[in-house]
Amino acid sequence: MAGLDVGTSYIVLAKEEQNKVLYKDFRDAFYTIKPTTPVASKMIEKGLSGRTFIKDSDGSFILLGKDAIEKAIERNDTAKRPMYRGVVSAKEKDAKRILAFILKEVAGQASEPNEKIVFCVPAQPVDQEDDDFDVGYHEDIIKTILSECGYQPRSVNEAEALCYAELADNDYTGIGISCGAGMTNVCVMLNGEPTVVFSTTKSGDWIDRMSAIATGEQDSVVQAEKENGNFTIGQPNDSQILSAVSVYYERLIDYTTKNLSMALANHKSLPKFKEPLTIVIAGGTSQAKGYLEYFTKSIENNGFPLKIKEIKQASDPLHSVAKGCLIASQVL
Amino acid sequence: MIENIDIIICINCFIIGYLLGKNSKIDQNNGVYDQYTSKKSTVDNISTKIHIDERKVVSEIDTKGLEKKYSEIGEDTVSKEDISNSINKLKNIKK
Repeated sequence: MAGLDVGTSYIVLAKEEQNKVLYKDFRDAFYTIKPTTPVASKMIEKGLSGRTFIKDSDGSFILLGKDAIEKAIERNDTAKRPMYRGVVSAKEKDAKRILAFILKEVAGQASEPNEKIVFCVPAQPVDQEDDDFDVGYHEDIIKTILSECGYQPRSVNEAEALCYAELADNDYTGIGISCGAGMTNVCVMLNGEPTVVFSTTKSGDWIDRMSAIATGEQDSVVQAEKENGNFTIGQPNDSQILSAVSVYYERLIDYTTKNLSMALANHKSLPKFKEPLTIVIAGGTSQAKGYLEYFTKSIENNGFPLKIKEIKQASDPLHSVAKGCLIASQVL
Repeated sequence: MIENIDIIICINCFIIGYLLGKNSKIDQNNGVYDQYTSKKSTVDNISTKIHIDERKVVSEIDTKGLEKKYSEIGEDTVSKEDISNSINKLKNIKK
């Protein structure tokens, strides 16, 4: 059995082996180089030696993962993503093909016929309604790809998976918030049953985009600076990029907590909780210094309608969703 | 007097015409609306709407033309955490 976090920024596979959990992470990015002459093709291929890349039938080279981002930065460009805002990108022509290739490589062939695999999908966003966001289509694509690898695939909501991974000590009651690159997913769980799930389409990528516009840099450059982590949310920074990143982080957290409060206030499906709730936060975007403190302050200021016991970060924020999918594969 | 009789005849004709017209519009057996004899909307008379499946079809995703030029993909990490307690607890709670 396996769990698979199909994220906008990372794809993470989780498998259990001898009471240990094995994770395989891969950066969900690609960058295409199209040689103009046969000589250039040979030179490029030599130059890419040691990097993770594939050669397409039209002669172009497609760098994958971290190497794609590094090469894009070298060329003052931005790496492409097979996914956008939590689902297969409708913007990129090659998105489906590249995503299929990466997923097949990361998940590999099933170890036995019809091995069960649970993968995560985002919830319907509360702040976007258009044809590009089609969770059902995204789910069908992932199922098709994993079935071709011999798996028996099943989907679970991303934040629900996070709750399965992190709320065992709370009798699976509380709130899971997965702050990924493309989306923020929320699940309110009562005794293992998801009662309210929703998402917003603004998260880490939104910070990169807005900071890139403000500073005139490429998104990939901002992303790399941000991921180096030399900043604290709410504190001034000497770097123009990180200063912008910090400000947009504050705005993102404010936006997320306002949406959270608004979505839960007077929600018909919201149970009447007897005890104050634990909120658990995970995902790459939540790893910035000061995130938890600013989130706690912001949720208090924005009229959150439920009593909170504690707000904590997941023990392993980048792997929690994959771990939850793995747990789900053995229970659901 | 003659004018009153004319008015009564007109009203009667209208009522008879109205009743005949109404009966001819809807087939009483199946509730299907006859669109050729009336201008009234059909929607009210059909109890269940029929939807067409408009979900996008997943066409073949061909990765055969992509030639792999590396040995290993991704970063592997091992976590010593034991998830069996979480699994058992969730199984019990979902019973």
